[in-house]
Amino acid sequence: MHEVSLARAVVNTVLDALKDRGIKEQRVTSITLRIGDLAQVDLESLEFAFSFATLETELESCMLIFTTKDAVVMCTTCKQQSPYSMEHFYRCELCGGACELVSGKEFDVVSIELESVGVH
Amino acid sequence: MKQLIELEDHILKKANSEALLLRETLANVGTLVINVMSSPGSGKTETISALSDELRLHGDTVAVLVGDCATDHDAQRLVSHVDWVEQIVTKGVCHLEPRMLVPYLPELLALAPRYLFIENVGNLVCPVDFDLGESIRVSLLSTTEGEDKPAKYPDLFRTCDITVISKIDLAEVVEFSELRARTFLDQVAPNTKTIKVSARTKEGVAELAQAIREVAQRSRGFETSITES
Repeated sequence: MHEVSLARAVVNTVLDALKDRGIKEQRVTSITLRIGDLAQVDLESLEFAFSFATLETELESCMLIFTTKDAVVMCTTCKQQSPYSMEHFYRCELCGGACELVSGKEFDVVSIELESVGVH
Repeated sequence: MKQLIELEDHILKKANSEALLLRETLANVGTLVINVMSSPGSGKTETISALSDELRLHGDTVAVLVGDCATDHDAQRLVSHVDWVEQIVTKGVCHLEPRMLVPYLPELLALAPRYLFIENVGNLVCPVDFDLGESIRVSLLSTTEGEDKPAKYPDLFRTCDITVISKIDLAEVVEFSELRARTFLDQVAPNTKTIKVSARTKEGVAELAQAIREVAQRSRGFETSITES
């Protein structure tokens, strides 16, 4: 259940961003996240944990929007890029060289949407 | 009126900055940090104990921070093998985070051990993404847990510099296939160094200590410490 820690990290990231930018009297209506295929996050568990992590904060009842990112590896020998697969893992399917992960571990707050509070 | 703000912040930005603080301040006093991760019961505590005995024979000081959901059993097991040990009881949290380590920093900086082992909570998933300020990651694959653990939990093994095949003295009894284990390890972690260890018979302990010393000698913090001492 590391989703509890991750949900708290999302909340802290956004609250810090609001503070850094001096944003007040605005309600966060949505948070857009980018989550890689290999980020080891269960989206349903994250949403559940998030609903508790936001209680009594400016983010209460805010919506999470998920965008995903495919896992891609690149061979350090022949530089070929290929989709990550559980058949080859981190071995190049062409030359057998060791591969590095190019994308797939992302877990970023892409953007937030704000709405003014108390304006008639 | 709605407004959109672009952030592009990694969600572990705060945790990563705490990890950087740990890494830099401990490197400044010449401490090499080693994050040890594996399944529960794969032999982390026994291996660290045997390794510490070996490292201390050469005059190096060893500190350990050990994480578990409950009890201080591991700290009690380690205490006679190390110079300093503290148990972090996570009360159910399945991994260690840098914020849990920060409170021990003043004491560690005063002690300035040559090595700080962080024995993570036994788990092959959640500890992976949390940088604890380590310079080396060590995973254990015990002969008793099945050769395909690296394929089932590729992310953890991929990020480790060294994989210890632990409980090697039991290999024959449990019909452990080293070839099969190495095949999976080679696929998921082509760059990891593999060392066979038995904490009971001490097989491979000296080799593991040497591998850690070699990394230590390459690290800036270690060199600084040698110059100063």
